[in-house]
Order: sequence, then structure tokens, then C-alpha cells
Amino acid sequence: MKHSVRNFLIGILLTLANPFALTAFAAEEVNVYSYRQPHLIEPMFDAFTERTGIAVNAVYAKKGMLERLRLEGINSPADVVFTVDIGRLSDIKNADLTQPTVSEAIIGSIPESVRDPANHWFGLTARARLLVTSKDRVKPEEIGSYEELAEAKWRGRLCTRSGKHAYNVALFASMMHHHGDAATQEWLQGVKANLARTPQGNDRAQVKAIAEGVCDVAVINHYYLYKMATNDEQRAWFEAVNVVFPNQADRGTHLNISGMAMTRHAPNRENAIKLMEFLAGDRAQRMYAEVNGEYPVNEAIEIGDFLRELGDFKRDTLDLSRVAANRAAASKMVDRVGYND
Amino acid sequence: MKSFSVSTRFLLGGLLAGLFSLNASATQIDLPDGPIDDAGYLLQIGLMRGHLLVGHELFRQGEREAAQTHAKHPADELYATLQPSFAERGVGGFAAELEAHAEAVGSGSEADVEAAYRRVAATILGHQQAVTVSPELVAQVVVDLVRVAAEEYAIGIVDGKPENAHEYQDAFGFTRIALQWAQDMAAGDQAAMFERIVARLEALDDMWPALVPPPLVEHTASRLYGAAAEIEILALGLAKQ
Repeated sequence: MKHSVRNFLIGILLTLANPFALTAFAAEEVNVYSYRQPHLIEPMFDAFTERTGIAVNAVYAKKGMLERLRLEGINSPADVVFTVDIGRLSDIKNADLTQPTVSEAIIGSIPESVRDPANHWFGLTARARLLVTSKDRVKPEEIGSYEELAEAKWRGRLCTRSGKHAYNVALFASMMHHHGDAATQEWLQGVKANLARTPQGNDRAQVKAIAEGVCDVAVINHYYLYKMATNDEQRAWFEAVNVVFPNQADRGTHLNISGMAMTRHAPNRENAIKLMEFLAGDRAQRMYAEVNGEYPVNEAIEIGDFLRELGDFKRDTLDLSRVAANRAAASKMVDRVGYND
Repeated sequence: MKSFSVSTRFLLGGLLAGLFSLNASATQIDLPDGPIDDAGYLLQIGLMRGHLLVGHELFRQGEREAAQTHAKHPADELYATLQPSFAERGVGGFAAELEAHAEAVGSGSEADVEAAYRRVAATILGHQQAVTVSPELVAQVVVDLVRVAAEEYAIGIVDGKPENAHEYQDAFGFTRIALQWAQDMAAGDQAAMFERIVARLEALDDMWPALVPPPLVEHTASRLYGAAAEIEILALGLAKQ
């Protein structure tokens, strides 16, 4: 058996007729493909089912969602996809695997900067990309922006995860929008020159490195602070750092999102809209944000104790679709400067 | 470690459970050299049964050459991977039966082939029954078999034209074995669930207008991928019970 599925399927699956459409499914259900873990989203699904009587069937994944949707094509039972990172959402849209969701309720709840201009995807929670600094070795006022990461005074004092990771690529893509390609490349070269070690590990590993004296400044997503603060083994890492919301004096802190999109061939379209409207609503946003220490995209919604303790901050309201548009170029820039070398 | 082509990933059944395992790049993957879990074991058995089933159907239709190819594949491609898993399940293997069947298909009389097929099929079934199955496990095997069938069909039929009759036939055999699994379970505690799965699989019948594909086949692997996904979602009900 020789198998090379991709080459044979791409381009034909989405256009062919489906004479046996989903007869196995009851009317009152909605099917979800999710990169998000069950404990993060099932509480909202349960609340939705309780309110509407519509069952939510969720299939969880770690990878391969886009390819799966592509292969299933018009026969896919998936109605809604959930994922983190603007990159993944825009990739699914760009693969022509989503459809616009026209709903005043959703549009009224989700700020314009965190939804697709054509309403293909919507942010649900926001994740701030922060700086953390050593309490022992860095004064709180010593750094206040992403731009300062490239200053010579930080030579050998920075830690980050891979420059190719989606969270960093999105940050670099936003820098490209704000400063242009040439200035961003110069900045990224400066950041690389300041690294204490080759980019490695996840965001929490950078905080651990600060606690262990490997470096003094790191870039992480905010909710890892919540995870470390509530983890007995990692609390000491959390307690070793100060938190800096970058760029409060100008554009605000870069945000990424977790979000949702309706699939192009959603067989339960009306139920999908109901689920998406519910998830965009106040109750679900509050639940969704609290369970992982994330921010609701709707700033009017009350946040939990941990986020309140972190404090208010100014968000970069750059339209995330612009970030998405710069991702490929940002990723190439990472290669060009040899960031991970 | 051994390297296998992409569809053999399904041998990892349990390891892949919960993942979207259709991240189909045409790359090689590594499999453990040792025993595989029950889902992988049953999938492997199912693939062998599928090869033999479609080969026997072809033989009965007078397509001896095609039947020979299918008769050889279980031993050539699949058996070695399964072999390390026999001992822990208390079974001894069926290499001799596979070989005898392949030889009969190559040069034996119709009666020889029928007898050899009955013998190898019964022996393999005995090896399948060495595993105590749950409805969830069977559903997983069914889903995996249909996904492998989808991969095969995608290679067999391209833009409506038969590009590889063997893979198209494999897809038939694997889907038939999935159907047999579901039919067997439809007599058990989860009858309603498996009756729905049976109906979903039977609705795929027209994807094979003949075992030797005609010049135009107006179906795509998308239907098989979609059916696998639907069955996976149906089976979520089993996990919730």
C-alpha cells in the first residue's frame, strides 16, 4: 500500500456533491472540533445544553484539524471549530474551510479588532504577551516595552521560547505592522543578540530560567502566571518575577486570542449559530476566561480575582487580521535573522 | 523502531486516540518494534481480513490475478508488525494459513481456494477473539478501518477515474470488515448505537459500483472520511455512558 493522501485530495474534496448527508445525526445537536482541552470548554457546553436542549458533541485534537476538515470536505460533520492563536484561525479561514457567521448578537459582543472583517472567525478570550523580569536583578522601571528588549543593556539577559512558536510569530507580526519590516528585523536581531541561551522550552520554562538565574527578562503569555501561581511546584518561579505589561505609554500590550469559527459545510448551521452566540455572551465569556485565567475579549465583562490582581492595562487594539496577514513574513524573518540558531 | 507508510499509523490506535490522526503528510512514521495495543492489534487484524475478503470476492468473480495480489498482502505487508503481539494474547499466529491460502489462490482449484480461505479466515477470527472488546474499542477500530479505507480510496480514485484498482479494492475490503464489526455489535448491549453505525456504513455501498472499477467512479474519499468522523461522534455517546 502506498499512501500519499494529500496529493490526491486537496482541491477536489470541497466541490463534490454529497448524496448521503449526515443522516445519522439528530437535529438538536452541534458538532465541535476543538484544539482546546475539555476542561476549558465543556463547562460552557454543558451550560449551553442546559439552556437550549441542544447537545454538543466535541472531538478534541492536538493537531491536524485543518487537514482533517480538508479531507472530510463537504461530508464533514463539524459545525464549529475552537482553537487558540490567530494564526490557526486565519489558516483555517484561508483554506476556505469556514463560512461567515451573520449574527448581531456575536458582532455586538466581540470587539472589531478580535474578529475577522468578514465574520469568519471570532475571538473569545484574549491572552496578553507580557514581559516578566527578575525581582532580584531588574528594577521594575528598567523596561517597559517590547522595543526595549533589543537594547544593549540586556545583552545575555533575555530568555524566550522558539521564535517560530505561534505566540512569538504573532508578536513579531504585530511589530511589523507598527514599525515596518526593516525596523522590525533590526529589532529582532537586537533581541537575538541579547538572548542568554538558544530559544527553548515553553513560556513557563523561561520564568523558571529567571528563577534559576539563567536570565533576567522573558516574554510570556499572561495566563502562565496563573498556572504557576496555582501550582505548588511552580509557585516559586512565579514569585521570582515582576510582571510588566509592555507599551502602556503608547499602543498597549500585544494580545492574541482563542476563538471560534463556523465550518464551511456545517450541517447543523442554526445550532452552530446558537452555540456561537451563547459563547460570545457575558456568562460564557466570564466562564471561559476564568477557567484558564484568560481575559474576556469583551472588556465590559467582569474579570476574576487573579486578573484583577495583575491590574488594568492598555490593550493593543491592532486588528488581529493584520497580525494574521503578517505571520508568514514574520516567520521568514525569524529564519532570516537566525533567531533560533 | 520500524518505519511505515502513512496509513500504518492506525496500528497505533490507542496511542492516537483523542488526536486528530489525519494529519496526512506522506511522510514515514515510526512504530514500536514490540507488541501493539488492542486497538492497533484489532486494526491490523481487520486490515488483513479486509485484504483477504476482497481478494476472495475477486477470485469468485474470476479475477484471479487481482485476487493473488490481495492474498499476498497480509503476509507481505502486515503480518510482521502483528507477530510480536501474539504471545501476550495467547495465540500462535497464522503464517502457515496465510501462505497456504496465497498458494491456493495462485495455482489451486476453486475448491482448494474455498477451503484455504475458510481456514485462514477462521484462524484469523480466532486471533481477533483473543481480545476482549468493549463497544468503545470496537467503535475505535471501525473508525480507524474506515479512515484507512478513505486513504486507500483517495489513491484508487482520482478525479473520478480509477488510478489504482488495488487501493480502491482495499478500501472496499476494509469498509466491509468495519461493517461486519458493527453488525456483530448491533446484537449486543449497544444495539441502537451500532445499528446507526451499520446504517452509516451501508450507505457507502454505492462507492464501489463494481470490484473492478469502471472508467468513471463518481465518488470521492471525502465520503469515507466524513463517515469515519460521524461514527467517531456517534461513539462519543458510548464514552459518556
